[in-house]
Parts: sequence; C-alpha cells; structure tokens
Amino acid sequence: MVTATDIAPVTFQYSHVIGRQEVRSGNGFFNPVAITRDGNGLLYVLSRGTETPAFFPCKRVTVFNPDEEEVLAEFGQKIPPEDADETTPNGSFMWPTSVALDSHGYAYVADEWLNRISIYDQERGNWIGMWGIPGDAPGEIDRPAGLAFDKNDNLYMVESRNHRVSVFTKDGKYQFGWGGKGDGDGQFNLPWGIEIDHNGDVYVADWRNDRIQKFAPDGTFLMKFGESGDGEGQFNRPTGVAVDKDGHIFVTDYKNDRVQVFREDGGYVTTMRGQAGLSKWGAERVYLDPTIVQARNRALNLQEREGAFQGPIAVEVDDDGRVFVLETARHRVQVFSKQTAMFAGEL
Amino acid sequence: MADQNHDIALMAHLMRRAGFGAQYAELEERAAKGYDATVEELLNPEVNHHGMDLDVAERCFIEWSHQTRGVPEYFAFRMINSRCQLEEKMVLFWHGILCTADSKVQSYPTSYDEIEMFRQYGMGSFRDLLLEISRDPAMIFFLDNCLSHKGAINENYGRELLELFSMGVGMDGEFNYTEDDVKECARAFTGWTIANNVPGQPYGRYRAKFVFNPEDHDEGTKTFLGETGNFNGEDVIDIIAKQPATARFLSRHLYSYFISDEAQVPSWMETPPKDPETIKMLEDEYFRSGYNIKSMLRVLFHSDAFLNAQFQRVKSPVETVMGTLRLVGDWTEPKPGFEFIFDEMKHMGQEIFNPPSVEGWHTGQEWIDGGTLVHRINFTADFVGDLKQPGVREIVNRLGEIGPVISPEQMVESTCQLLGHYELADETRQMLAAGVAKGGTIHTDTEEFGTRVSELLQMIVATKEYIYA
Repeated sequence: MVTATDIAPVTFQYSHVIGRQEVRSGNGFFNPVAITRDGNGLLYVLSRGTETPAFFPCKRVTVFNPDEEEVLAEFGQKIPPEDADETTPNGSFMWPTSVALDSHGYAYVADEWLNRISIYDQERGNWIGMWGIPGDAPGEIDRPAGLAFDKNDNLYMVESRNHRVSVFTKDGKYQFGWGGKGDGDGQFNLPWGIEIDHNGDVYVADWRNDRIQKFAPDGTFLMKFGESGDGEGQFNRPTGVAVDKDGHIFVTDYKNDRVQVFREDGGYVTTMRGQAGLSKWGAERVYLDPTIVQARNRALNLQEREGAFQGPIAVEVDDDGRVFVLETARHRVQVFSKQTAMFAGEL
Repeated sequence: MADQNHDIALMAHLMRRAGFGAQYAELEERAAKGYDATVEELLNPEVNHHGMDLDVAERCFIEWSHQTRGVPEYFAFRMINSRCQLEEKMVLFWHGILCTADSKVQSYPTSYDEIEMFRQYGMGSFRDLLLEISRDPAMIFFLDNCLSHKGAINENYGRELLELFSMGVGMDGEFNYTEDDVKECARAFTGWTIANNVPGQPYGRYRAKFVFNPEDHDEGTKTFLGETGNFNGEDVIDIIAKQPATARFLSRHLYSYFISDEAQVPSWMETPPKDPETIKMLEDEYFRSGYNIKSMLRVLFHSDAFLNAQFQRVKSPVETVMGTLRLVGDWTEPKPGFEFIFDEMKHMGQEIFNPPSVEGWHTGQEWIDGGTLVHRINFTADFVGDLKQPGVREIVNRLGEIGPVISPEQMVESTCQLLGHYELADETRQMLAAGVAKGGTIHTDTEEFGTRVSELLQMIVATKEYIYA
C-alpha cells in the first residue's frame, strides 16, 4: 500500500534571483514594494524609488519574464515632490504601493500619497484612466496599500490610514467594505498587503498589529494568527501575504528579514531567510568593472551576507509551486520551488 | 505670574540649547513640570519614549527601514520630532567632533551605525565612546586605520584621536603629547580594521564590520604619554581618558556647544577658556564621575554660566533649520520633498554627514557671512510667514486671545515671548513697533491680523538678535 501523509515536511529549493539596484530603467528595480503575475506567467514589479536624490527617475512598473529574465515593458514615472498634488500628471507616481491585474490584464497601481488608482492597458505603458476620491467616508480612500482582484474583477483595496478593506468595481464604484482601527477581530492597525486565495477568501497583513487576518469574500472574519516578536509564528511588521494552491500561506515578515510559511489553519511550517547569489542582471553590471569583481572575491562571507533577505516586502506564488520573494532593500526577487515529500511504504 | 514667565523663558533657553527649540505649548508644559525634572528627562532618553512613530516613517520613506539611503533625512526627522531632544542634540555634537564624511565613506548603512553608536554612547562614559569610535567602521575607513599595519603604520587615526577627538594639541601653552606619542598610539591600533565588505553593486550598499586582526597587530612594547607596556588600542584609550587634557578638551567642547561660543579648537593651546571656573567645574565632574558625559551635562545645565547664557551662541545652520521647522510645526509626519532641507543647511554652511574636514565645522561667528546670512534669513522668514503652518497659526491665535485690540508694542513684546522669549535691543523693539504701527490700529479679530503677525514674525527673524540662541 502506498500512501502519503498530510504532515509531510515542506522545503523550498532556491532557484535563482532576478534583479539589481537600478535607479533609472531597464534590468533592475529600485526599492520595489509590490509584485504580481499575469496569466502568462509574466511578473510585474513596482519600484517605489526614493525621495532623494530628486533626479533619480526611479518609480516604475517593470514587466519581465522570470525564466528568461527579459524586461518586456516599463510604465509609470516619478513626479517631483513639489508637483505631487491633485494636479499630478496622469500616469505619474509619488508614493506607489501596489500593483494588481484584472482578468483582462489591465494593471491597477495604487498611490498612497495621491490617493488614486491609475490604470494601464495590456500594451503595458498606456495610461488609460484613474479613480479615487480622498477621504474616510465609504467609497473614499486614504492611503491605499495592497490591491487584489477576485475572480469577478472586484478590486479589494487595503486602506492603511482608514484601517479597513474596501471593495470596488474595477472602474472605482464602491461595493462594500469592513474594518476600522483596533486590534479586535476584523479590525486593523495600518494594514498593508492583501491576498485572495483560490477559494476567494481574503488575507490581510495587519501590519502594526503584527498578525495576519483571514476573511470570507464578504468580509466575515474567519481566523487570525501571529503576534509581535521574532520567534516562530511571530511577526515584526508583516507586509505581504500569498497563498498557494495547497493552502500554504507565505508572509513577508518585513522587519525580521524573513518569510514565514504557515499551513492553511495558521500553523507554523518553516522560515525562509534568503539564499541569493549573483543575478543575471547583476552580473551584467558587475562584470563591467573589474574592481567590483575583485571586491566580490575579497568580501568576507559574501555568500551569507549577500544571500540573506533584506526587507522582504511582498511575495507571489504560482501554481507550479514557485515562490517569488521581493526584497525592497536589495532590489531583487528571489525565486524558490516548493518541495513536498511523498512517503511511500507499508503502514 | 512673573515666576512662571521666568520659568518659561528659562525653559525656552534650555530647549534651544539642549534641543532644537520648542513651541510655546511645549515650553509651558515643561515649565509646569519644572526645570530640574525637565533636565532629568532630557538626560535620560533611555527611560523616556521619543514619541515618534518611526515604523510609520520608515514605511513612508521605504529606504529608511534598512538604511540603504536617506540616512541624513532620517536623522533630521528625529531632530525635528523626537521628544528626547538632548539625545539628538548630542548625536549632532559628536557628529561634529568625531567626524566622518559620507563623501569618503560612501556607505549610508555604515554611517547610520555610527550615528546609532553616538545615540547609544553619547551620554555615557567618554572612555567607552572613544573605544567605540576606534572600532567604528566608518571612522576606520575615513581615517585610514585599515591602512595601518604592523611595521608600516599609518598615523592618521592615531594623530586625530589625540589632536581632535580627545586631548587637543596643547593646554595652557604646553603641548599635550609628542610626535612619538602619535606613532606609538598608531602602533597600538594596528590590526583594528574592517572586514572586506560586500560591494555596493549589484544590490546596494552593505554595512561595514569591525574586525581585529591579531596577525597585523604590533605586539611590541610601546611608550605612550609616559607609560610603557605592550599596549593595545584599549590600553591607549585608558591612558588618554585619565589625562587632565582630556577633561579640559571635553569640557571646552561642551561649554562651546551648550553655553557660549569658545575660540576655535586649533587655538585652544594658546587661548585659555573664556570661563575658567565653569570649565574647572566640568573637569572636576569628569574625574569625579568616572568620565561620565551625562554627569558633566547635569552639572552644566545647572551651572550659573548656563543659566545666564541666553543668546550668547550663534545658532548653527542645523539649529536654525530644525528650530524653524519645530517652531512652525512642519514635518511632524512624513511627506514628500525632504531634500530641500538639506540644500538649505548646506547653503547656510553645514552639510550634515559631510563636514568640511576631520576638524568638523568652525562655529560661532564663522557660521555667518553675507551669503549664508541671506539664506538663513530667507529660509526662516519663508516659514514663519506661512500662515498655513500650524505653529504660526498658534502664535496668531494666542496673540488674538490678548484682546480685541492690542498696541504695536504689546504685539512685538508678546510675539517675541511666543517665539521663545527673545530679547531684543530697545532700538530694535521700537523699530519693529513702528513698523507694525504703520498698518493702523491692530484688531485681532480681523482676517488681516494673521498677515500682520506673519509680517512681524518675518521682521523679527531678520534681526541680529534672532541669529543667537
């Protein structure tokens, strides 16, 4: 008799790393904060960039193939801080936080300073519209953070400063919402990332409460897990959450510089800490300058120091068991493959 | 009432010196607690919360959370918003004495670690601080101690440790050390170096790490400041810490930073302290307390010299900018566009994280020339003239509470009080009152009143008196 056990260990095999620090455009990111993937397996990474120096044109969405590591498109541009107000030109970003794709492949980008959702078409670069009314009344938004579409193209939006989740049609018509500031069930404190699993259930990274909350699609509270700390199952400002087809929940434990993995009931499984080596795009830069090559050869504990997550901020999964961890402080995506043991033998 | 006013004036003085100034409401609150209690609160940041939502700030300025960029901005945000003002003021104090520059270090994570070290050790034992700065990766790189080897020393760090960080060239007309002491000091610090760091490409800067390399350390016998032994860097610091010159050096720096502008450091050998009694008091406390900086500060803030030293120091550019932002209530929470603050300080002559040399910034009157003065006044006038700033609105409202009609003299007097009890010369005061009077009777319940207040504020910050803290 052959059987498999549902308590089999899960491990993650490091595959490769994509990215480099790139302040302008092309093969790299600059303080990326969000990642998503389309139906063709292309990844979209949103670079938030920095305030300084002002001349860095660093805010953008980069679309690329995670296997061939080819940049296929970029869109969005930085607006100078002094111009970041209601007159900001269409398609510009000040403090972008998240990118999500609807079923047609249109990209929706949230900007928490401008309180607007900008929409780009499938050609990946053409701005086609925006919506968002600042405020705290239902249907108004204050500091949009995570975005996620359900199967019906409803956009679930985390509003960090309204401490709630609001659901809109993709053209911005308010449907319903839930939340409020607090630490009770269904309440939030500056929430950030959001995920919708294969069943349509909603997971929110309740950032300042150091926990993950799970809800039914209508906002009914289902469960929570996590508390403040750096032990197993504890968090220090969780930012992103993703759920794979097996129900495994991946949480970017931002200030603990790790990703924690949980069972679908919230039970702790394992911790990932990063294993990056030199990326393809990184090698392009490094091998331009022999002094960098020499410095890398001399560096103490290069593999250990370079490999570790720094600022894991968002995570994405696919149905092939791949996990994409986005690190804002290292401007890259580390790719892992899930390995689940199958035990064979007589019971 | 007179006592309370006196207390608030004194509190304004304390907060200008031990911090970066405060709005009137904070002065009232602190004065109600009392001077002694406020001094103790400022001296003990470890038991008093800084009152900032730093996690939220790091979320907005995403590069702050791992210090890969934006470290000067992060430091400035803390100067503006920390309730523990003396902690930040001491970080700035040490940043101006134990100098490194980003123009050479070029690693914000490493510079951040140095600033955090100042925050941790800046009010502790001076001996411990000297030890930490000798292990500080930014300093080791900045002053080339990583290039100093057994049998082939680089004297740079050893020299500056003695000359600029602890003792000074001389005291009371006598040299404090010899060239041989410099060489022996450098020998003691051989092997104090940094690990080969991960380069900044392709993933951004990594923080440098201190390592002691025993293979490269000179184990030979050294004679330093009259003592002989197989000294390591730590032994050298122990010897430095117990020198009278070290007590004098630290006392003069504290006096100049908190009480009254002293002569510039290079002239200290020949130029005696302007207030020998207070310096002696601080020197005594240095030894009595076991080199404890906090104890020296406690003595300093209760000294007659400090209590009577109002408006005897020229504000530094950092004090000018941070003080203005705290006064008007701007940047109390993150928003885009922090960079201009650094441009302003730079144009006024003080670019933090990039002092002009290892000697730091020259202070006092040297902050002021035609160009920097114009920048200073324009910056301050722009902010205090902005009626949208909450701190300016608060001044307008408080003046309005005096009564429906106020005299020009009363308006000038009360506005100076609300700015922190500024003391103007009679001639200046009369000139300002005459300027205000040109607008006719002052009705405080009119739209125009706010504009008249903001115009007066702009005139006050352009006076000679406002240059001083």
